[in-house]
Amino acid sequence: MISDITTYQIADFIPFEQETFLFLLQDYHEFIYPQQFYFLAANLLIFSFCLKQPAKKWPKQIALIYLAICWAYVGYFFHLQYFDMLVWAGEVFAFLHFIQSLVLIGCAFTLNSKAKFNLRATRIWLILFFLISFFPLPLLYKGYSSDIEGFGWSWWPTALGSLFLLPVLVKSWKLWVSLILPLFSTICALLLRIGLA
Amino acid sequence: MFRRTFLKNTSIALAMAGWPRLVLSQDNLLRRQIYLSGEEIPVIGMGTWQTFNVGSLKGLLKQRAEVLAMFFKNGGSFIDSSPMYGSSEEVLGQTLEMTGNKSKVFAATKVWTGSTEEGRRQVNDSERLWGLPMIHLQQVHNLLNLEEHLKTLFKLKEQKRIKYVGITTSHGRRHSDFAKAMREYPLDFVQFTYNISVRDAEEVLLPLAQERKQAVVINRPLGGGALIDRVQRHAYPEWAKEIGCNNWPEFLLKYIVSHPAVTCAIPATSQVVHMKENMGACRGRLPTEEERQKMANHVAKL
Repeated sequence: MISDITTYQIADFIPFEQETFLFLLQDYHEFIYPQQFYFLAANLLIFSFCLKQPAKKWPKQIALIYLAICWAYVGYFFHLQYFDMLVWAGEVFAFLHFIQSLVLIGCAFTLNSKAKFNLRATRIWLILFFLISFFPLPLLYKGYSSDIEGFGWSWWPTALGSLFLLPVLVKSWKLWVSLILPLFSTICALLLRIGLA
Repeated sequence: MFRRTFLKNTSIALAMAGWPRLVLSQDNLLRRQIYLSGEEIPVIGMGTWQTFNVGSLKGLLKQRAEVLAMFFKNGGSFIDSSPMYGSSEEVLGQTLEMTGNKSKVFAATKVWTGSTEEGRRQVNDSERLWGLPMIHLQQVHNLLNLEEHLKTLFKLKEQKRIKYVGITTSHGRRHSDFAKAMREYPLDFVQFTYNISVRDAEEVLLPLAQERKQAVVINRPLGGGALIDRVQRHAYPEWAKEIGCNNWPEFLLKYIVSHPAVTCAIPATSQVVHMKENMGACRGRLPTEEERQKMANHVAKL
């Protein structure tokens, strides 16, 4: 059995070609256009709220609810409508995205108003979040490149953005619970990219 | 004329020796006979792993239909797929409809599930998705739930819902269990990995298939693309043209199909130009045993 396992490579678990996946991303982006821009605007707004009022509870609640919307959006529009075309795992990913959405809503409504946040650390994390949110912006000018993936409307940047943002929004055990699926999703995305390379 | 006479005589000799008969038909296409029925299939078929899983992405559907059209234009018929290949079976159904070649297909697919009931559902789904009156060959993939699925498939064969029953493996996995199944069950087809770099099958599986009179389908003939990528970095040997191999795909594929126990090889591609090159291995002469050895030695040095 052990020798059998060694014959497998990551690519053996990916039932589609790289070209097909890139085409799928492109088709998805064309389908949701121009919502990418609405997400960019929302990212900017929430970033400014969090940066101006890092110690207050309400900007964090808004950010968490926004994150929950992003996860549900990607689960429905990307995984269920598109990724599921190629692989049954699309349904599973969609389900997990909806679970993550509920976890984030739970975190938003149970946020401790007395929690102390480190202002400097919060700002650093928020800047990282900002960069992740906006890195695809220049690519939009090139047309619908398959490389356009941004926080709030696409898969792995949403997970990656959550990994950066959640530590400044959520504390205690809830943080670890809320990080499980973003971490899993990011690992899956990286494995997919390695397998397709 | 000489070539046809030579092939005819060779194929008669091979048939007498128990190898599947090699046939050069009127259209100059190299075919091999299936032991059980005498039905002939071209020595190059088409696999669909990864390449035909394009969902309902319209641009890619049209492009895959062009690949399929090139396959049929060059005399192809044997197509292998599986329910585990995502949307491949559905895409095949659609592209067969688009190209209008349903009558030319020899359809091969697989059952791959631990559940017997789910296996029956997969068989029904395959028929519906391909949109064909009959799936010719049903295979139990990776020996999973082998005994139960074979019961189902042999029953379907009795009912004439399928013509042939087979088993598959790939990547050289579980060859001893595979050989055991080849000995135990009256299989019509077996499918496994064999190519110029991965030759384990020469030891047991290929001679056993000949002994058991089982047709042999070879998967991953180009090493999943890695083998062709490797050899294409090197200059093509001029001497290979003299033995009927005009390019690297023909070289690698003719090495496989010239093994007398092999019925057909099923390279997968999503490119029309590659399909044309692959189908080139269905024409011309096949290398002799001595030439095969030279080919293997040459690739081993690359």
